[in-house]
Amino acid sequence: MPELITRATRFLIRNFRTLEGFELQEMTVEDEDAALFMRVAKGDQGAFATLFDRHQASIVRFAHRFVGNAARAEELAQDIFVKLYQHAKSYRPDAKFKTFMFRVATNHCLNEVRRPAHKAEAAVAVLPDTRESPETPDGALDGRQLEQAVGVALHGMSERERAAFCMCRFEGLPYKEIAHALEASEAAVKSLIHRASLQVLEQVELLKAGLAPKRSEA
Amino acid sequence: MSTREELTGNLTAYIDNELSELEARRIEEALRLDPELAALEQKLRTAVKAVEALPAPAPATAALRRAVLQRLDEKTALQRLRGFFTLPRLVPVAGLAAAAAITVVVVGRPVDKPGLDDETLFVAQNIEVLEDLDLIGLENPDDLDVVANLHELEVRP
Repeated sequence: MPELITRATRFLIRNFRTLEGFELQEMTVEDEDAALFMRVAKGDQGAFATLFDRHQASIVRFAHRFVGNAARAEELAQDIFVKLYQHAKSYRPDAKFKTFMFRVATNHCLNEVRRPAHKAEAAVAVLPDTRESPETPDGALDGRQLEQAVGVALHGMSERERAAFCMCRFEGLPYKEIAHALEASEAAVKSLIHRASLQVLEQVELLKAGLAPKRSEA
Repeated sequence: MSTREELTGNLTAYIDNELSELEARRIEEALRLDPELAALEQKLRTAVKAVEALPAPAPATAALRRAVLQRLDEKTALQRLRGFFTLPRLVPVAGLAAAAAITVVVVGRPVDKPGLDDETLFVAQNIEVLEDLDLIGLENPDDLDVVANLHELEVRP
């Protein structure tokens, strides 16, 4: 009996990859995403709904940080997911699904911020809030102040700096994946994120010094 | 040997653990020797950690899910419709339509009627009336006039 189990196990291991649908394979979340997205390419809306539920918060958050407007972010997220569905057939599983998703999201958000109407709206929306904020004992900024500083810094960043910064700081993507999403080298991403982080630091320092955040002309 | 500019440019990547072991060692060595660089690294690290700890914006509403899935349904229906009108389907349909059009043109064309004068045509067009007249045996035009005005004759005393 034990010999039978051993032989059966060996058979399973040998034929692991050829077993139908890789059902027995222990998949990572990324692999699952890729497999689901391959099913989406064949028109499986249920698989798409699962991917949507898994990533919608991330996409809305990314779009919100990118365009600085919650309502517009939801509209953009809608467009991004519809685009993902439409372009599912062009997906190759050699790229991570998340990278593919953020490439679509970044391109869509870039198109949005390049619209003249968006530029006019953003100019009004990011005006610094000059109301007094409660002092914190250690001189650190409270959440609202920090949010304000980050908002002003994001507005002052170049589009690619903003995209790289948002993917790195708010979505936790490693530099390599950001590079894939932006179709840039890792060295370029390193530089983009560093410059963006310095801009945030500058705004934080200004607030700490009691000065209103400075609007840079991006 | 890295320049100070290179070292500064690598600070954020160092904080994010994105440098190779060798590059990270160079930064650490520079931080020990350069208090200004060390101060910048500390400030950057604090700012980065604070930003990463910011609460996420409000999550998406359920309306977003409904809206996306509804748009997909619409797109899918449109795609199905487009899929129906493919070339292999359109070619036979177009052929049938062309054949029908030709038939209508050929059948609907006015037929030449050589040798028929106006009177003959009139008779042909009113053949049913004339047949009825035959049935009641009226052949004389005067009799026809009487029949046409029969109601007047009946009213007069």
